[in-house]
Amino acid sequence: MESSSENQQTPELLLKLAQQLSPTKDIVQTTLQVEGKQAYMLYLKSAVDEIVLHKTVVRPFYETSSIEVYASYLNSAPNKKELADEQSILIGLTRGNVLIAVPQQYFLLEIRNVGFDEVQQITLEPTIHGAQLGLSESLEVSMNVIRQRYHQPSLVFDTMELKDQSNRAIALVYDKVLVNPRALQLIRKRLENLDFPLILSTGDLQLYLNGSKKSLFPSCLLTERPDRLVYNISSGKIIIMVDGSPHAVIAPVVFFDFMISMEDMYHGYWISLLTLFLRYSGLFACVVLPALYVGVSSYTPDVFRTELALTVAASRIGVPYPSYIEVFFMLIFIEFLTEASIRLPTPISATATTVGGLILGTAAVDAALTSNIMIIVVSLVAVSTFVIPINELGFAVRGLRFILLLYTTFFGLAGLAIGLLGIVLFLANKESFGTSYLKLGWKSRKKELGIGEK
Amino acid sequence: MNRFLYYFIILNMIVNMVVEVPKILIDFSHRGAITSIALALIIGVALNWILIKLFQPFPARSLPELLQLYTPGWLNKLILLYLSVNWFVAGLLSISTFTLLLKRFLTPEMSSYIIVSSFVFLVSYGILMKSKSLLNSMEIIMILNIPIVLFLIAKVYLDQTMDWDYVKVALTYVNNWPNYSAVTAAIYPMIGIVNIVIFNRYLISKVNMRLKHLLIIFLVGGLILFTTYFIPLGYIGFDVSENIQYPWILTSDSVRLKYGLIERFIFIFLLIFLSLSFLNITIHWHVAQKLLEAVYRTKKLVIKGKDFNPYLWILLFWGITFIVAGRMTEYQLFLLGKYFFNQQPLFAIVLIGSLLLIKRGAKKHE
Repeated sequence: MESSSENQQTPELLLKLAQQLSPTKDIVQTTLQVEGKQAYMLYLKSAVDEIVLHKTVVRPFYETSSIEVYASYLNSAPNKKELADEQSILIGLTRGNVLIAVPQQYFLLEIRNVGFDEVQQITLEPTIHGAQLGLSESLEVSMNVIRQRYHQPSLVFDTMELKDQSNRAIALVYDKVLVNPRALQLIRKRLENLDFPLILSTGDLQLYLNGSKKSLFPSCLLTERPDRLVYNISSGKIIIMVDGSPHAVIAPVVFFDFMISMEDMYHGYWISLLTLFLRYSGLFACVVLPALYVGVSSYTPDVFRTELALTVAASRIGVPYPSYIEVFFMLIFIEFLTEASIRLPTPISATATTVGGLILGTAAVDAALTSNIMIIVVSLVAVSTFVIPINELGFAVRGLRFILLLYTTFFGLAGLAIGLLGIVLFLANKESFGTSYLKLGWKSRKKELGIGEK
Repeated sequence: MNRFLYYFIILNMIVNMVVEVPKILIDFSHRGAITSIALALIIGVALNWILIKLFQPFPARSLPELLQLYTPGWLNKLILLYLSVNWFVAGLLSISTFTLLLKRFLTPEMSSYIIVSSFVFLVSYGILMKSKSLLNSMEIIMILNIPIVLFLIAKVYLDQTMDWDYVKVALTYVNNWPNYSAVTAAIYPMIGIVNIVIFNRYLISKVNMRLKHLLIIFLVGGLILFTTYFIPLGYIGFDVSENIQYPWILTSDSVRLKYGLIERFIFIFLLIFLSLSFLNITIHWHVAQKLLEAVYRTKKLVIKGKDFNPYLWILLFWGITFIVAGRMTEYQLFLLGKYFFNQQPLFAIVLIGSLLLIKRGAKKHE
């Protein structure tokens, strides 16, 4: 048959690659043929945008006069990729590249079909003013989002590839003039040495980047707000984005970054000062209150003024166990409630919170299993946790207050005071890619405090 | 002057307002406390000036490094050992004091050992920290606490129950000669600067002292020493206050916050000073551990690239602290404090002498 003799001319590379890809069914290996001209294509149907393929590869083949013209047409295509070794071509094919062979020449064109390239609504950190749309799951679109908001020639997109099973593209974004070179070097090194079988999204990439996976406080900031990204790029930080994840990681960060909501930028001075104050007092309250309740009611009731001390004591009448058990129970209960309302679908979660919060809360007080004041404390703690703008810090704080509670349970009010200082020490000792996590940023600071190197 | 040097100086001043120093000063109220304070103020400021001047030519170097470079080995080990014992005892004194204070006023039913352990765990964390992080956290804790301290002091000054007549009575004893113990006790709050021996490594500039800075330290020190000595007299009374173990705590308990959530002043007072003392203890022991590390260090304890030498010292610190702070009575503690203050001139001589040796050695090297 004639076609079989044609097939024998199919370039070996194509056949070999096709063989390596089989037995997947979405592989397409075709021959374009018109009098005297021949070209061969290999691609994965599921990864390639076939309309674009037809428009830019197939149709020109029939419209060009000779195979040389067609080859030079392909050669000048803007989406042409460099040909490297077989393995990387294979990965390229899975990523939506099309391998085209004309006599003596191969071309690799990127004709990706990304079904999820829409810019997404911001859900994690909504603001009233400010951007309403975040990044996209497609890396190119996300990069476009940033590029369109930061018109500086010094903005650098540095793409590389994860070395795990998913082989995804990741992009480092930074302003090469402003960037902190030490942190950049460190992040590059960590990314190169990353040794994990599968990385699913930006969320877990940041955990692996941390160095130690077992840390309570996040050392990168996960965000989806383009305005936050641009703000951080302009202050010399590095953004890491992973293809297929609508979030970006900002590194290095300091503790105070987690307490900033982008809305602060859009309000007047006094308003944002007020909200900042609210936020910090919320942070303080949700860490300290449970421990304070134990310290005051079990160790030193005479700290509060007499009336208040009596109120607390009176509300605890009939509660059959010491205060620390009460607090532990109620805190865990409120954690259940929060966790349940996150995981459940919206219509059911409203029921869960009502039943859990209102009905159980009142019933628990009526049954003298907990005191009224405890319910107030716990609700206050739950609400003030939500004042923290970045979710990850909220989670860390939820863990932190248990530690402080434990310390106070053992050592009383003095334990609370020392424990708070311990938290400060701990945070100050933490590092995020070479910068101290907690420190005050005076202007003249760099001049005064440094490391004396010999 | 470098901001962190101010922090050291002021932290030490504030922390020592509360316990031993006022007790010793009030003990000598009939025997020259006022002249002692004046003398101590001058000596203290002079010591600050001398130490900063001596460290000025060696930016970003710590004392152990300098000793290693410019002095013979046996001598520097001896000096470092003596200095580190001083720093350790300074921290130990504070821990013992606060253990007794907490037991007396905040949690009387708790065992001393438990109170001690509430300190040592987190202090040990502070010892193991990077020095630079410790400086950062010191800054934050100071900035958070100083406004409250100012409020507390202002409140004590302005309260109705403060009787200035007693202060006037006390002032009539101005014509007595200074007493050695009173002078050394009053110098102690002034010399927070000594922590520079380790932290100088991280202070890369502005380690200098001009007349302006000298004046600031003189004024702040004078104000704090004045407050330390005279305010308790005003609350407790001139003649009776000698019999009181904790003059400042009683003073703070005399003040009432009429409209506050916490009515009794003493609790805020205790907790704030506890926080600052905790910080000071951490710094003291951090320095002590760094000095000890320069004295003795074994390669055997470097296991899998991690250095366990600091843990050795921490274990030693823990052992001594549990034995001493867990058992000490108030009187013993008072005596220990007094002896410790009394030997301070030796400390100053050793420290300044070693720096002079370094200076000479450095000149020879050139």
